[in-house]
Amino acid sequence: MELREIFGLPFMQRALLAGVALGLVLPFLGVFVTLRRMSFFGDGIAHATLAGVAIGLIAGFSPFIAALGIGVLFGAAVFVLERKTNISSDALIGVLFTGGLALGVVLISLQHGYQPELLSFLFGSILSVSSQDLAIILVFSAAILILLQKFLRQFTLLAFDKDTAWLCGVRVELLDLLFYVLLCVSIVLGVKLLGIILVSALLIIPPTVAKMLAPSFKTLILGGVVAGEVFIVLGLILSYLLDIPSGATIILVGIVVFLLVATRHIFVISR
Amino acid sequence: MLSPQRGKVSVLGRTPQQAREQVANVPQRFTFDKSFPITVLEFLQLSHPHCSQQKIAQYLGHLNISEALHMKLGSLSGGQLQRVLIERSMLGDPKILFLDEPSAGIDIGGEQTFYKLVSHLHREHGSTVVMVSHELDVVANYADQVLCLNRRLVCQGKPEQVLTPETLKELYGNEAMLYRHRHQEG
Repeated sequence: MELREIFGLPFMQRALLAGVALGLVLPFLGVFVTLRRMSFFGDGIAHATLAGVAIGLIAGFSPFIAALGIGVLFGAAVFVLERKTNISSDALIGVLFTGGLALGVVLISLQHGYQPELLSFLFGSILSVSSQDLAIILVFSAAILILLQKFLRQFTLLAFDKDTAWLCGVRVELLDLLFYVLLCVSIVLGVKLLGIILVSALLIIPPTVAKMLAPSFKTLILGGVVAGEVFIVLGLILSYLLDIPSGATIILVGIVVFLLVATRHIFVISR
Repeated sequence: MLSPQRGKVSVLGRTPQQAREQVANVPQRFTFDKSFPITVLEFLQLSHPHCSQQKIAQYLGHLNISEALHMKLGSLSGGQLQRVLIERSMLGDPKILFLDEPSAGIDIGGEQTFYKLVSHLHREHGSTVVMVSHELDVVANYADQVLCLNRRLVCQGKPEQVLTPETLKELYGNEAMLYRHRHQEG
């Protein structure tokens, strides 16, 4: 089957567009997430959004929008509690994420019958991206990219050394909060694509692969984004050809590339 | 940034927040993820985005680490990293420069170059330099005013007046003395 034929199908076109948009946003943010050692944050927020999905399903409105609201709420809660209590960040995320997950499970148990939406949020369903979902993903992704570009220096300084950031005139708390919000929104957008269980992989694997190869910060960002796009496009094509789940295939492509680069790193660079 | 428990703190006649871009510092230890791929040039341009590559390279040359410009920050030796931090503090021509044991890990040649640069910054640009140091020779040769602390304020004033055998004994014990080289006397 030809590529033109695969991407001639409307649902594949929507999947490709959504994937390309998130392939830009998630690995870009992932560079800062890995630098700040916040990988668990991504996973935590993704899991907590199950509560939002459940609220959306029960209340009868878009689970996607509800998940966005809950995701941002959880991110803001982590931000405030990190600063106002003496609880460590990972413990806070652990508490909130299991709380969100538990609330989601209880709320969903109140619904009777088979819940196809629920399964698509758990494991991702890029091929079921509707036109409305695509519009939301594209608009939010564009806004996030514009903000990332505008505050690139500030986010880099914050990730590197907060004292220096403060001395350079960065409004540390405000920019930190903005980073948390952008991260939460991006993760929820990615949930539609890869699912609650797998979304943080697209945040972490591309910058991790790029980090092993990049000679500078600029190439790290560029490499992370290119890697993310390659994983998504290749994963989509393979999943269609082999008739296997698209989200998991995208991640497995990433894992294979990661293993190849890590092997090269061990046997060629580290020798 | 700590908040004062009483009264108020004023820097250059303004609040610390307003004055922060005219203040620079060199910490004794700078901790960061060494595996992170950021070059020295990128690192310095983060703090000084309008600084040209030419000016950055020129300062690196003054500090005898020209070769570091495109090296990864995490691959530098302790001495090289300290010089990069020193350059970062000086690039913006700060009004106040805080140095906490800044020459730790630098060889003697590099140390002399550094203190000459700091003196130049002080003399030519009128920058105030506040430095924490245990090195008596540095204090004696470069400081205008010294505050000697050993749990309490032991002495305060011009180094040549207050660094007496008595105060040195109280600060460092019996063995400490200040010896002047002949060329300094002449």
